[in-house]
Amino acid sequence: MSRFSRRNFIQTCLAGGLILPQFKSLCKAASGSPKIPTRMVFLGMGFGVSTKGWYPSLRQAGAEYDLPKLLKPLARHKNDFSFIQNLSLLGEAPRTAAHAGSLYFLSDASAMQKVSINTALPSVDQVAAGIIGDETRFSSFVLAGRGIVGRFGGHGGGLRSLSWNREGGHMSATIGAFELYKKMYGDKKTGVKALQARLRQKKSVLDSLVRELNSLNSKLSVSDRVVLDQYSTSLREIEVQLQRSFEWATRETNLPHIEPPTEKISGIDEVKLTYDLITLAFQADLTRVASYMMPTETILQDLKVKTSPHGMSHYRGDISVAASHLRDETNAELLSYFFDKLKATKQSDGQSLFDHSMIAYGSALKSRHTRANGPMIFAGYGGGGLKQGLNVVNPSGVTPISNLWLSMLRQVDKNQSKFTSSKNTVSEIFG
Amino acid sequence: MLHNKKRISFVLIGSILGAFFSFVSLAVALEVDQYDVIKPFLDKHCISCHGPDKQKADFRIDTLGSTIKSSADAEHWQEMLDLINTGEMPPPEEPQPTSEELKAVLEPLYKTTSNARDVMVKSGNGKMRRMNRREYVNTVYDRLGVTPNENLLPVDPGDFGFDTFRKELVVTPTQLLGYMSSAEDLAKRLVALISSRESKPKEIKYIFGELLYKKKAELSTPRANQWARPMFERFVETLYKGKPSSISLVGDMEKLFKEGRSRGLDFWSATYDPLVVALASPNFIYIVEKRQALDQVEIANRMALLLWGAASPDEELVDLAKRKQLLSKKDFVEQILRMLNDKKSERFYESFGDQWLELDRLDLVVVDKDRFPDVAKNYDKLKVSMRKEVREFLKELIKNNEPANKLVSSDFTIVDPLLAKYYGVNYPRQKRGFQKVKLEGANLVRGGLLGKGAVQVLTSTGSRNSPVERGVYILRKLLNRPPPPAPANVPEVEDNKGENVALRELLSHHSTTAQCATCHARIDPLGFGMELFGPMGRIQKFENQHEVGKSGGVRINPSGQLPNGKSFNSYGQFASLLAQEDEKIARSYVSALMSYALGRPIGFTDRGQIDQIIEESRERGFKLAELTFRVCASPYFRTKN
Repeated sequence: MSRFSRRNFIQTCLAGGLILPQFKSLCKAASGSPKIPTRMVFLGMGFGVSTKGWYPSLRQAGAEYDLPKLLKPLARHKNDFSFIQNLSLLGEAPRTAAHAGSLYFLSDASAMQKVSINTALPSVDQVAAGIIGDETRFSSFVLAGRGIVGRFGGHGGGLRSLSWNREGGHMSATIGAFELYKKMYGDKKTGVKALQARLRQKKSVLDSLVRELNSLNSKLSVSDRVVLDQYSTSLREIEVQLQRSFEWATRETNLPHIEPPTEKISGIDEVKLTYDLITLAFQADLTRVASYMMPTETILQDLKVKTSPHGMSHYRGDISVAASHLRDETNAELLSYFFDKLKATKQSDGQSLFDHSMIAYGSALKSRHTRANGPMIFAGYGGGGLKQGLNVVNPSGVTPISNLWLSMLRQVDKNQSKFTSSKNTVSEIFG
Repeated sequence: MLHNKKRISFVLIGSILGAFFSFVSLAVALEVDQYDVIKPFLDKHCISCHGPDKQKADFRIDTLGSTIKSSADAEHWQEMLDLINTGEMPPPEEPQPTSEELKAVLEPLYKTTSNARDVMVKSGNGKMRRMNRREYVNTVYDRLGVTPNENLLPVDPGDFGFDTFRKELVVTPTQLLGYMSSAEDLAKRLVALISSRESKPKEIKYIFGELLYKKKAELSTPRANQWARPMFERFVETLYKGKPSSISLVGDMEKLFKEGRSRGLDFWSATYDPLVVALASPNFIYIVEKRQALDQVEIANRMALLLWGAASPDEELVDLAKRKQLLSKKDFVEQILRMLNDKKSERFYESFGDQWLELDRLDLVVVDKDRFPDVAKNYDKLKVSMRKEVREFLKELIKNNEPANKLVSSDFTIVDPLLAKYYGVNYPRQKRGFQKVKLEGANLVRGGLLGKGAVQVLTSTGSRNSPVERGVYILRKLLNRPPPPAPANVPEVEDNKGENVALRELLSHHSTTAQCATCHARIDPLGFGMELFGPMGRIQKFENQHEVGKSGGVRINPSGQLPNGKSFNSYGQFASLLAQEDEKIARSYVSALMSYALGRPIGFTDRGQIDQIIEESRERGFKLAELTFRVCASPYFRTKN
């Protein structure tokens, strides 16, 4: 795990001026001994899974259950993750969203109020980033696989990511493992002075745009000014990011060197690399929260499957059923790989990154068009206090998925008592 | 008017509404006209199925009350009016109201719905939007002669209707960063272009003037700095023609330029940031319409956005607008026709055509390699040609002001050699590219949209026809009666493993299961009307005739009936009957065009306008250029709404 040079910290804090209020927490952190942070990963798979062979029997609730055959690759981790069955989004999807596996998956926003894809409620990963994301270079990673085509990836038409920010605005993702690599490793080339000069320059451009904004604002009707507000918010957000880059320009990132990936990396290789990069980012404390809208189409292409993702999700006939099984097995293998990586990364207390993380993997879609009782695998120990290796069975159709989200938030902030539609916490796992 | 024929009741819920209609509250609640007359009618004829005991089709009437408070309320009343008016409600098997009873309620219902519309339109809900990626790229090209790199701009969320929909065209930090990167990239390319020997677009020559010939040495002197401002002035004048620019823009550009120079940048590098501000300014990227009633320059912008896909009205348009002469009837008609024939209108036929007719679905069809190996190999090329055929066809009909029902039944199509061979139609000798070909005899089936390979392929699964998809397509695109979406948790029909079971049998559940039949009785027969065409758009006598190694099998059964009850036994009859529904076809076109033009789903408030456009075009047979013109001439195109 990365340690900032304390001297650097304090010097910069004293220099003052450029630090925005939220970074003062950095100064506070410098004084005490660093506690190992909890990390969270939210994986959305889009289309639901095969009806038979993925879910453990509902009659085998508890620690003694048979691992379903499609998930054999996860056998070596069986004691370290759990199934949480019969979780549902209580809110409805718009009627045209027949395959919206990821729409409001991390927030259940439509259960609370009238929402639309661009204006909804904050997703759990962004709420978490608000709690634990200010001390790291990036408050969170919002990721999407390459080649996802809207509703045809099973995530939902027009979706750019799994995440909605703290104002409820839908967020764009870093698309593809190559872009993520650049985001993590990119800044190394430019010298600090040059980087700072460039950042100052960009700030001048932003200032000019603010003047442009003001001139337009005065000409507009009241309701149009509300629209222009988005531009203004975006400007401010860019400014904040700019300040952050400025701040972090002087710091070491402690990222180990890896072979740069090819630009066109996609499919199974891309998912593996994404898992690798998330692990490295956690290790170097570049971020502590990640959401990932996973690809389906490119994985099917790698598996040389003939059906389209949509066709597969409806499994008409033998070919698509086989495709669905193969996809589920492959995803299980990849997930198992991710757990391996996290377990292999040691932390300063002798435990592993896996012990200090929580990973949620699932979808709002059970299968085909059914948007209830979706699949959910929950792994990791979140820094302590969690039980794993369980088949948690809830009553059908009524248990809000936000129960899990609330539970995860409480792991980093005990004061959290509700998250959107939550009614309870998942006590079998969280105690 | 009562229809005595036995009809299957068809639910219109959601039929006019888009997925995300804006929820409008009325400023003042409206009382339902003559509620004391309407209520007893509802109690007698409606409440038993749409009341506290039963809510058929999820529609409940007793809770509506006597006041209309929102657009949702208004939609309900409009629906009731429509269904009573066409005789669909009460259903034929129930006791029917007398003519006197009907007359007594229809009048106040009409009055109520009209009043609601008036009140709602006046509340003006059209929100400002930014240009989408397509429009931005086209606008910059039209103004500067150089195309920006569109890959630097985020993809617009495109799954909700047209890419002009206002709700989706917001500015996020990523979007703004995209505009800034794209602008920086463009600035760099402009500079590279200037320094190169390549021929430069006339706009560039005008903007940069003498600077094009200045040597590097000259440009590095301090004296050179004074040349920047006039150049920025010309840049803004050119880029912002027809758009509002701020007074401080040029000054800001000059300031940034000077800052860059003092930091040691050379002349050209110091122009990047100034150009970024001009290209990423909200004055440029938003479509600004200051007041409820648009001024003529703003209308000219809308016309250019619609018909040329860019906020770049040319000299002629801007000139007329500035002299306040654009809206004189004669000038307006002339301009619309000129625009429809201008080369830039290709963008309209392509963008509107592709989106309205959902041609992007061609990319999502995975051709079954085992069943159709020959098609699978060539699919990439075939797709391109099939798309172009539809666009050229649409262009031909609109440009030449053909009647709307030619969309269903025409005696020509427009193909390239590849498609001509695929269809087996004659292609004129010694010609190249896409040519108009006359269709005769058996080939007549290739006329109209439903005869196009593109439409046939995008409504298949890649392995088999999907009569349901085809039926839905026809209802949505041509008959202006989109069916409600499938219920979310409907169990999937199991695919039958038997090879020689007819498609109709596979879908038999749709007619035997009560909850499915209501909608599917309207959808499936239409889809079956297209059975002549296989999943790869080839004419077939047997189902899946072109599958490898197959001969014979189940004969196709191209019979069925239209929603109005008329039946057919062949595709030819089907197309003829459909073509008679010219008013519906015209409405479909007008609704789609209006939605695209106004940047929102078509809803309750638009009925009046659409009705008027239809009435005015009826006499001449609903000609397409005329319909296009009337959409542009409608008050909704000239106001924010």
